[in-house]
Amino acid sequence: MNQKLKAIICESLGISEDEFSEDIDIENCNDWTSISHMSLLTSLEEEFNFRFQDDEILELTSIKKIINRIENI
Amino acid sequence: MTKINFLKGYYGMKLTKEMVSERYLSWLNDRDVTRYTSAYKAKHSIETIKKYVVECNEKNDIELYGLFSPSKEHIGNVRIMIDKRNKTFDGGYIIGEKNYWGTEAGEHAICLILELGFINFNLRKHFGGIAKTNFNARFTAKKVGLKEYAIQKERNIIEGNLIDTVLVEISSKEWKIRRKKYV
Repeated sequence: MNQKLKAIICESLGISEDEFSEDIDIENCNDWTSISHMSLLTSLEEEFNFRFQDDEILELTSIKKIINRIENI
Repeated sequence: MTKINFLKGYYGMKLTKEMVSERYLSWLNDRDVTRYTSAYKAKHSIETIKKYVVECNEKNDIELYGLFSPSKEHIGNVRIMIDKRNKTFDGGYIIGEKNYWGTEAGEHAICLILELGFINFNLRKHFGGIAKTNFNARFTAKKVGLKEYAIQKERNIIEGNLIDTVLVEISSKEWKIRRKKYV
């Protein structure tokens, strides 16, 4: 997995790399709030030079989904 | 019940006119706070807010509660409107204290709405509407468990633009499963 992607996710959601898991989602991560979510997506857009579609914003609710999305840019 | 406690120390209390403060007034005069609410652009004063609180408390189909932080700071409000005939309710909230934006406060505001409707008033379903462009509120609603089910095209005018409203819902049965995380 892209280490830069992992670092951005960890930083945006306030989790350590040891805590990182693809099973993390908005339901089991208290710090995954609306603002950390938008911050995460903005950081990913800047790093990977693309734009999420509006309809995607609320669908990317787990780390697994985000990884899949980034790997399919 | 006029006080509702949550696991992480947040709580809701029925608002009285004595709880109206300069801080509360400052929220309603801040367009960042009221952008997506009916309070946007209206002129507010301590007296008009007190009048509003009294009027809400006199009605039997409206409940107005303050949301308080674990440090007992009044940080926002929620309001529900009850449809007794159909046993449903609508609701809305503001987080006035901006330093609580991006925290769990928004989730707890929605929880307060749902606790009032489903537990205090034993209603069967909550319906709500969120501006389509308000991704923060839509995300928070989804996190709490509300489901988006339809769109009303061009329902609102926000800052001069026609904006769609996303309709959301949750049933009493669904909330009673999810509430254990918060209450």
